Amino acid sequence: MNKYILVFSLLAMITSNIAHAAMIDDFTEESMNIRVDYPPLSGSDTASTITNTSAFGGGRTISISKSGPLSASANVIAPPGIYAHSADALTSATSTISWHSDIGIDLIEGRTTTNFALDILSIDQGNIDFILSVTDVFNNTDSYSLLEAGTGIQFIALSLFSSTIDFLQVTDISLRIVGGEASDLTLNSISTVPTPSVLVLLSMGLVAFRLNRRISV
Amino acid sequence: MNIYILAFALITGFISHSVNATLIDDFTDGSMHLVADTFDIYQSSSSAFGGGRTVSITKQGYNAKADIIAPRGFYAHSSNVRSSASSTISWSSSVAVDLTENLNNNTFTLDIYSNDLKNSDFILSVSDNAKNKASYTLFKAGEGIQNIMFSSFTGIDFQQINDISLQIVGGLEADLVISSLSTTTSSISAVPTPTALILFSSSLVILSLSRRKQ
Repeated sequence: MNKYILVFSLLAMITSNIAHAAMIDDFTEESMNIRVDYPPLSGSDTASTITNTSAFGGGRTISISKSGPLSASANVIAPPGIYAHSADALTSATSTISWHSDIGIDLIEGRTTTNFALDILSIDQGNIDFILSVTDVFNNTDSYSLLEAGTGIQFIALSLFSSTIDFLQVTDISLRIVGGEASDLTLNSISTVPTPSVLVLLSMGLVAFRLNRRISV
Repeated sequence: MNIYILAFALITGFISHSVNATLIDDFTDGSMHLVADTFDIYQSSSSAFGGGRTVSITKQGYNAKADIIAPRGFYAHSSNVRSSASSTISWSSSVAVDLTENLNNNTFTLDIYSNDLKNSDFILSVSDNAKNKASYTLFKAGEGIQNIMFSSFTGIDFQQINDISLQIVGGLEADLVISSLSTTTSSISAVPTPTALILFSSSLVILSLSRRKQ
């Protein structure tokens, strides 16, 4: 019996990062490409586009604006499944990915999900801010800024948002990337996941329980 | 008399920086826009060596481009995420040009205005009227003025140059801007450096004041 508990606890720890994860977007569908050039082809320094995918709400919209003399671009490259934000020398850009659902979506999945997970593959210079915004079915909205984030998975706890947000009925999510001059970055995915520390504690508790039983016997 | 000495010293100090400089290109005319992979787009330019320039760019990865923004006067080499590129600017003159300006100049001056990751190499090549060709590589150069002595190139007659090219071997996601390429006189030549000129001017001023007191 104890072996089963141990195996269960280890499996829980290993697989818990993906268990209950709700994928908002992993960029594996529908390549997109927008850029603002020098000189601006449309006479504007902004561009946007929308497409249908299996992402949150069934589609995504991306937009970009830039300041500076050269170009900036936002791309969804599927495959391999990345979002790329690129600004040339002497030029900075802000790009936004937004997802909309006509009906409220439960992001916390029976209260097991407690974090957004933003998987950042690469940042060349480190002068990037990420602003994550959510809106619920009652039009309550709030944002959280991740300043000067590095690469890797960045967890943003749902508790960092206003308590008025009903995460059981979310209709809009947007991620704004405020890039510095000549910044280039790639994202792998954005999803919601359980808190890793809680899962580790749970697993450790099960292991301790098992050892305790062995000592008692 | 002292006033003349003083005026001469100050004027010498002010203008000495530009003496003997020859501009190869300052990118102030002939705007260009190339998206990789594109080759051999010639653009005339009244300010460039030989009356024009050719730019080419090749890339590995997703996207890269080369721009000359003439109103701003710069050349930009840009590569997007997960991309690297190699771009080349080349200048050609049908008649041989004396880059030394009667043996006054002995250095190339590459003005790098910005360079985000400093992971790019700059390969400067020259060929003369006798078809001798040589190159010098500036590895992982940063921003600012980069000097390359003529003596770094072997077997080249710098009084009869026909072709110059600058290849930028950009690192991953490199974005950089070049303001100009020119020739000038290096600090180790017979021409005084700015610091030496300031000292020289100061001594003349002191001499002038000293004579006035006497």
